[in-house]
Amino acid sequence: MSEAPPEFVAQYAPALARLCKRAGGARWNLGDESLRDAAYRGARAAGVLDGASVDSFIDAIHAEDLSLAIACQAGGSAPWEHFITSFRPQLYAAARAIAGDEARGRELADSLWAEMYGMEVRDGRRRSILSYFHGRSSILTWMRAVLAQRHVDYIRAQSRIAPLDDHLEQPTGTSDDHDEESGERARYVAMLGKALDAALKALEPRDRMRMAYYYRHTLSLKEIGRVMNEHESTVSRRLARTRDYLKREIERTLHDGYRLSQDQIRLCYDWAAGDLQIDLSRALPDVK
Amino acid sequence: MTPVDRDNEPLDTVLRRAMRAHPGPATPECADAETLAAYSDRSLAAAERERLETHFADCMRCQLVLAGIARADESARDARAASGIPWYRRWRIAIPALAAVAAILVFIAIRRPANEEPQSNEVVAMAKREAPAVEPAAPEPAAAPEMPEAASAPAPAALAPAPAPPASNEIAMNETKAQAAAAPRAQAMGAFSSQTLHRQATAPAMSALAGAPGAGAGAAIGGEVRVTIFPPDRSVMWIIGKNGMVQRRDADGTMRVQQSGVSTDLVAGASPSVSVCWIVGRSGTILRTTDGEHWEVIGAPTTENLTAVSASSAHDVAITTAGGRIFATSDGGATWHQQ
Repeated sequence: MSEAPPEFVAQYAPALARLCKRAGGARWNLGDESLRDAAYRGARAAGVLDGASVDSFIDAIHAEDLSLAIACQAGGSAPWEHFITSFRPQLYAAARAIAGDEARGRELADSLWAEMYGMEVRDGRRRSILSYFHGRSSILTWMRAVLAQRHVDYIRAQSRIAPLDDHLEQPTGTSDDHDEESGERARYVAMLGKALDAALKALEPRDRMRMAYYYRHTLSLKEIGRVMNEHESTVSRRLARTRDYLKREIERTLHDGYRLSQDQIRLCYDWAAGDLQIDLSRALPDVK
Repeated sequence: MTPVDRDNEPLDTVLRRAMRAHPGPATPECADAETLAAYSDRSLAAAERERLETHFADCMRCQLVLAGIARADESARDARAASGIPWYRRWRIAIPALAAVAAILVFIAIRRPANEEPQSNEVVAMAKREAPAVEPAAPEPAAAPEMPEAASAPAPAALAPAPAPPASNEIAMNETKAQAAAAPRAQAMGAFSSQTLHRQATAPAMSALAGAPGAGAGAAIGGEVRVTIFPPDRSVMWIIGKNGMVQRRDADGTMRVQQSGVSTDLVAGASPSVSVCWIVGRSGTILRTTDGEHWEVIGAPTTENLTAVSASSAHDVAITTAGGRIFATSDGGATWHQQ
């Protein structure tokens, strides 16, 4: 029985016909009904069923990849062999690149591979994670996204086990002068933190993303360009422009708002970037 | 931006420390794997992309996933590039080979009679894209299967398909380097360069239409450069350029301005017949004429800058974005499918 309601099939018949033509389902003995059902599931998952964009949604579906995913879930040996030949090496390469480690990458890839094959059998059918793929992206990028999500979960799990690497070190010595200096340093760092927080929040989302990819995730300019869909020279130029803007705004806040002199502003930077293991992120409570 | 300059080093250090944190758990606002993948593949509509970026800007978890996808993609591209390096580009072979070539050229230069004129700089001729008023430097159709002549080889910008076609500023830099090359080096490298450009012309989207008769191609490599477009019989010529400029030159040499209806910069075109011509430009601009005279704006699948187009008819077209994506239509632009 078809999962896609008759009204859906009727209303979007031309787009669905184009989808079936592009998908080449005959290669895997796939009927058009399974593709129509997949398109319906995808549109429902994406939340576009009530909108005017269903046609463009269907036209943007990566039809061949969707067709292959459906055929693999159905258990055909030919599509699965094609899937292994086409994507298994790339899956393992992606896992290595994401994990940054051969062993961890293999572990990630093995786990996902098994879930795509479907280790669990229910009602005579293998339950495969491929059922979550609706063709909105290429299947390779989708696999990379799943690998990356699992790696992030792994990092989170590790961070809960290991202590944070930054903590406030108390200076040695017990003289009053030393305590006073520590307090002064903490105050200057806090002022810088607040100025930085305000300046970061005033940035456009894409500028914040770019800064995060460069300073937090240490991506290369080329990799940032890949995420942001920009040429690396554009990334470089915009990063420099954003950094200049932040510098101006921070110093304007410290000078005009906190009445600090240029020497004191320089001290803010020196103490914040200096030897003391001060967790600057604690000065920025709203930065995730 | 790198390396860090001395003046900004303290701020850079502060930014690195301030942004260091651990990823949090997924929130209801976090995108699922397929949405993140679709964002990465540029498969989402502009409105949804902008909405997601508002979340991505502050969500370390989503940033990490997107960063992981980007790393995997770059790693795959590097692997493909490394495996595809031909023998003459591997340094262990190239350096001795270049040294031998240089020695031969020096020998020839010494032996050459003093009154012999130097040969033309083939590399400079390839890099130049000015459209002269009287005798245009006609680029060969990108679909031509035979090796194009060096003087008329298409420019990389319009024909580099993917995965990473050079942007217009890279091409500008390449042009500068080509023009600075000395004549002997150009003679030595001219044949190699034309082969390289021809290889770059074999794009998947364009080879799909390569067999179609009458396919034409144009190319542009800089904001100030005009592009010429010819149909297969070369009976007419279109010249396109900045601010929506379109001119047509007929067989009798008459030149006239045509109304494009747009003001964006036009960068590439393809003419499968004397009455049909497609033009693409910045910000997703696509134009088409089916009578050789009047231009209509065709709805684009993206607002990205477009860098190349190939066409076999008024209905079958493939366009390439600056980001390397290729879209094709078989119904004259009513619908587009990403390749």
